[in-house]
Amino acid sequence: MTAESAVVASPRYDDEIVKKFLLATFIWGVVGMLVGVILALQLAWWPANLGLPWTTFGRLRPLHTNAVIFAFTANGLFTGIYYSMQRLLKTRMFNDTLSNIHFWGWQSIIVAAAITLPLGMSQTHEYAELIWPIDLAIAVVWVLFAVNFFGTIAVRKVKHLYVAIWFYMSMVITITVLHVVNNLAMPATLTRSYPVFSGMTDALVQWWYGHNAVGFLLTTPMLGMMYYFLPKAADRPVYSYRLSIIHFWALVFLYIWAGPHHLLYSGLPDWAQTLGMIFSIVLLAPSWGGMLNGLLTLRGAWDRLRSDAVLKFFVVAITFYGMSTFEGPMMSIRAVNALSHYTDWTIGHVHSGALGWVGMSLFAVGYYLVPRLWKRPLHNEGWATAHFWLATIGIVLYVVAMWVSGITQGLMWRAIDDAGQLQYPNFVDTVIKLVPFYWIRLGGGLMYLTGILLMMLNIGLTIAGSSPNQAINPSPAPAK
Amino acid sequence: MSHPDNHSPQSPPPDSWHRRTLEHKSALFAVATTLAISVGGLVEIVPLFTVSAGPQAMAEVTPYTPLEQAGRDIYAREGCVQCHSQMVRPFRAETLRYGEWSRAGEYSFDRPFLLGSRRIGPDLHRLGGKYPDVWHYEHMKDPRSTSPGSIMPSYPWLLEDKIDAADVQASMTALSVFGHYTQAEIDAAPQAIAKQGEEIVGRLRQSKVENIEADHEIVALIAYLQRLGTDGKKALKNQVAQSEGAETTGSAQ
Amino acid sequence: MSRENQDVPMGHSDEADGIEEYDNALPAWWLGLFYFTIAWAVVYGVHYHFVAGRSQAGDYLAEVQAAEARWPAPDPAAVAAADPKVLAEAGKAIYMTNCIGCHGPELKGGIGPNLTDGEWIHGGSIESITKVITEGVPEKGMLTWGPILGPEKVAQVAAYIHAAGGGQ
Repeated sequence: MTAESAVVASPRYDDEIVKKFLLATFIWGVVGMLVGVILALQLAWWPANLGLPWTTFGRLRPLHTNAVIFAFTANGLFTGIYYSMQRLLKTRMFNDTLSNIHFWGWQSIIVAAAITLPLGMSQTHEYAELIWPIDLAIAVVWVLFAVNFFGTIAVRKVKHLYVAIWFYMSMVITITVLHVVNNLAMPATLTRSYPVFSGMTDALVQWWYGHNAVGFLLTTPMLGMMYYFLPKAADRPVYSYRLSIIHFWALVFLYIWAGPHHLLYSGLPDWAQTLGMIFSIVLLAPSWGGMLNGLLTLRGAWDRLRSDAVLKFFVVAITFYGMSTFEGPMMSIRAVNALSHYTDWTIGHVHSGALGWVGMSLFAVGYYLVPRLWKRPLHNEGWATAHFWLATIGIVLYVVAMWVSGITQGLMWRAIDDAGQLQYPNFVDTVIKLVPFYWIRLGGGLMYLTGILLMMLNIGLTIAGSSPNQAINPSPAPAK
Repeated sequence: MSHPDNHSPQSPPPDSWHRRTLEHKSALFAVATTLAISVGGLVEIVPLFTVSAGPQAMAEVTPYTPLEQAGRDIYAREGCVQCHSQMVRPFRAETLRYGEWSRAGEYSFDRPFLLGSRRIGPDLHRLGGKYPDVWHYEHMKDPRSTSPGSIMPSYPWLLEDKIDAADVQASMTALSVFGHYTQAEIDAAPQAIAKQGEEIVGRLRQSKVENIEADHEIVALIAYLQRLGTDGKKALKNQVAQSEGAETTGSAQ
Repeated sequence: MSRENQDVPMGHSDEADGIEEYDNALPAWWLGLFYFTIAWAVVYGVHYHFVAGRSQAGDYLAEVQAAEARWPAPDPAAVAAADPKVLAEAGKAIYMTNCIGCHGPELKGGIGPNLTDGEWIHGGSIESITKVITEGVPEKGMLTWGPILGPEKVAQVAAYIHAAGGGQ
């Protein structure tokens, strides 16, 4: 480990690209979460739609989801992948030019998304709203990334592929397939197109995409990053190699089947709905396999949780991963879905995944990397701990508010009075009831946003403030 | 990396099958991963293209008129789908509130599908014919004038901005690839848009709406909203009539 | 299986940037959970489709039939016999949640016609008002409220409109 850390200084690895992706991650993270906070305000207080076409909820929500998924999360994944795969494979990235095209191409795509979505240019497929020219650009940049990725694997200086690389690979392959198939469309104008599939088929293809974008962008590569950064930060061996094999193959095989749980009680044939439901249930154990390998790797390092912000973030991230991968299968059960579908319960569920698992993991990776990349201690460790508490309490407020509001609305929709008629025939009655919870959600979101702003300040002062010769030895070397 | 708690003197285990076969051979690993992620999608999606397992077509369900298609594009542009579903589920509490539950065959010409995933506002699949045109006009201008307490934004620009018939024709040309429209229908679109638009404008003027023209976006949107779910309702009525007819014949025999 | 849970390093850390891996056994409860969910999935799928022969359309029909048995349509005679004042009081709340969008909180109209001006387009008797509410006036945009409210609530709201609007 000593040698590995020293190598950072040598030109052997391209860490400039990692720095770029890291800064992009958190800058876009602030943007995505800020839009989320604005949306939360709009639901609590409708005049916040501002009466302008490009600031209405309907146009801003895709901006929020795309920013968080493709700007914050994806840049975070690229940060972790570029850093860890060079070290795991003991080689520099296959081609620096490809790395830079990947970086600048991806950021340009995000800027294009941030302009087109508020203008109302949308394909309407969730998390695939971007118009077809941008989709083409994504395909090109993604393929160049794939070439760089597999090229690096091809020129690796080690024989075997560590588990983190398996998970990264599953992302590179699956996202390619999903993106291409779900965006097959006939262009009408430069900004508008119509999908090849129609009606329920279009819906099924979309949720095959949508569910597995969660699976293979927000879950598997994030697990890969856990397998690298957690044992590094904790300085502990991974708990079980064979568990990693089993849960990896189970996840990549089973995840794909679960898409139809987004379409329960729709016009989708009953058998397809059943498949979506039962495969979601079977996903529980493989998901928890990842959680177990994460938490059990920390055996013997729990005492360090008190002082180490990176491990704190990781533990909460993995706990939320376990929680939301339990909640997801439950919500896939027909009887539960009948209540939860179309309510805020779903919104709470995705945020326990996105804020809890993805966000907290990326914060952990960020706090791990900044001192190592810029070779100086973090400006203020106390702020990192403050960030941790702001984020954790923020998530809890958010998720609990959405549980209450989701279940409340679900029950009001189905409430039947003594005469057998709807108890709340006026839909607005079921909306007004939720407004207090929307304010609580806004509070939780604001706390989370404050946390990442504090992190940005911390990173900025770390980079600008101290001089490199105050450098710490980033990973204390154990006796060899 | 060594470990102070390494209490076992045993030597490392020999390389496993997984390590020898897959982890050492990255191409094989990539192929195996691709196979693993392909099965589920193929099993679930491909059967929908077959007649027996796919959505049952309904003869009454036809493509949107040019004006309705223009309205649908506005619906997509404004992100209405972010808050409104178009899928009534087969529960009594939903059919009491909205009307007949939604069948797969009703969406044959829905490109893209607009089922939605969250009901911040009510489901709209059976909205067609529920309210007069002027209700929609007032509702878009100020949702709280028709639905006190609503949290929906106002859409005043729809009352002023105009649709472009050539733009609608571009959409129809793209959709004609999938058989939605014939060339003759595309050529006649400007007239069809004007005709249907004038009908709506006539009804709006009757209700004392002023400053309204047939090519205003609100007119296209109203045309689309008034169409929603109506084909399916017709189809389901006909199905009931047919099955009742069959029963009568059956009992007469 | 002699190495179970013994935290034996695999010895490949030089190939994984120094990260060591143990090869500990799969936790028994975890494996049990995995097997259980697989078994449950198979049993559920077979039971739903082949044993119980369920479908969402069938479930819906059953739900509607159960509701019809539990809340049979009210006897028109009983509704007619109820005191109009009692009915109207109950009808006010229904009116306020459902009708004010078009007819206004004071029944003075808006999108829909004024209900207080003494002009009854479709007749001002309680029967006529009930009929209009139940069946709607689709060409004018008046909803078909019968299936939404049910006959009892329709009778209540009709009584309210009749009383508050000064029906004949």
